[in-house]
Amino acid sequence: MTRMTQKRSPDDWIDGLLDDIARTPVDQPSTDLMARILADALAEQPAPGGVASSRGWRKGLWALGGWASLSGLVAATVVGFAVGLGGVLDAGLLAIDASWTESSYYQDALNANGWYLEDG
Amino acid sequence: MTRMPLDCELDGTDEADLLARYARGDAAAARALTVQLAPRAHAQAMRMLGDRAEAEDITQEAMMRLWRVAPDWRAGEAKVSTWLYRVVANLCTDRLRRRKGRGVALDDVAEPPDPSPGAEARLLTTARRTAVAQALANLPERQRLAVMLRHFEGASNPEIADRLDISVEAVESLTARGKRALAAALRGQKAALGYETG
Repeated sequence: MTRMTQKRSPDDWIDGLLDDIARTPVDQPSTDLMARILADALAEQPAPGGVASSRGWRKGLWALGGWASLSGLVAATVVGFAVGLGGVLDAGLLAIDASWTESSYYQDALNANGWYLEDG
Repeated sequence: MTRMPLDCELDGTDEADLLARYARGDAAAARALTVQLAPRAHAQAMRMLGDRAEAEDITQEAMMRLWRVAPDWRAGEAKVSTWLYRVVANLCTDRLRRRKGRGVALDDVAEPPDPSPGAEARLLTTARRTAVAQALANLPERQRLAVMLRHFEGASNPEIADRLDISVEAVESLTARGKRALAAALRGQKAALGYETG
């Protein structure tokens, strides 16, 4: 139990409480957790050379030629519909959101994690 | 079990460099990042949640987010460890808010009797962690991070300022306001947490 021997402010005990928590030893992560994390890392890791992520449709998109091909694919999709040839295109391509970019993925990830600090 | 020696060849390499290597497909970088970052994330989650199973979930989830953002990481815009620290803090905060929403109170934690030596101290530790974590979860993010970095990570005010990209004066203000808010939130539990009143 922590005893406050020198009282400077009624709220000084908070410093003691926080420091007591910090000093309390924390268990190391289990070897099983470390193995799961490493397995995740390897499963998510792009192929050597940094060509692709293993994530679902992104992988498919890269296989189709990468981001440079996206605008062409979208344009082709629109034109294909316009002339009644939409069925020729792979249905999977139609799911691609043309507004999505590498940059927006990065921003989404950061925003989702509260990267931008709220006021306080 | 995959062996991850602490003295792996990339130990000490800058985290941003490791992340770039990881994104290029370097398996050794994946191992080095896991060894360097996962224990810190786990310790942070343990301090915030006080529950091993939940801390492991949060650690794995936070690391997964790191793996997924790696190919798009822009070097120089953020420090990897700070980014991860914030991810863990936010995931833990979400978890704590859900706990609160489910009505899990301090009195509900760690009740089963434990006759082993040190059981009382462990209960007190758990109670302190839980109470502080719940109070931290209610702080604005910058106050929460400033307090945690100062007290849990032992970071100096200039270090915190650098990591959060704010001024030292702002750090001082955030830390002071955060601790005042914690004191106000926890005042009624002071004696229960092992701090004498008065």
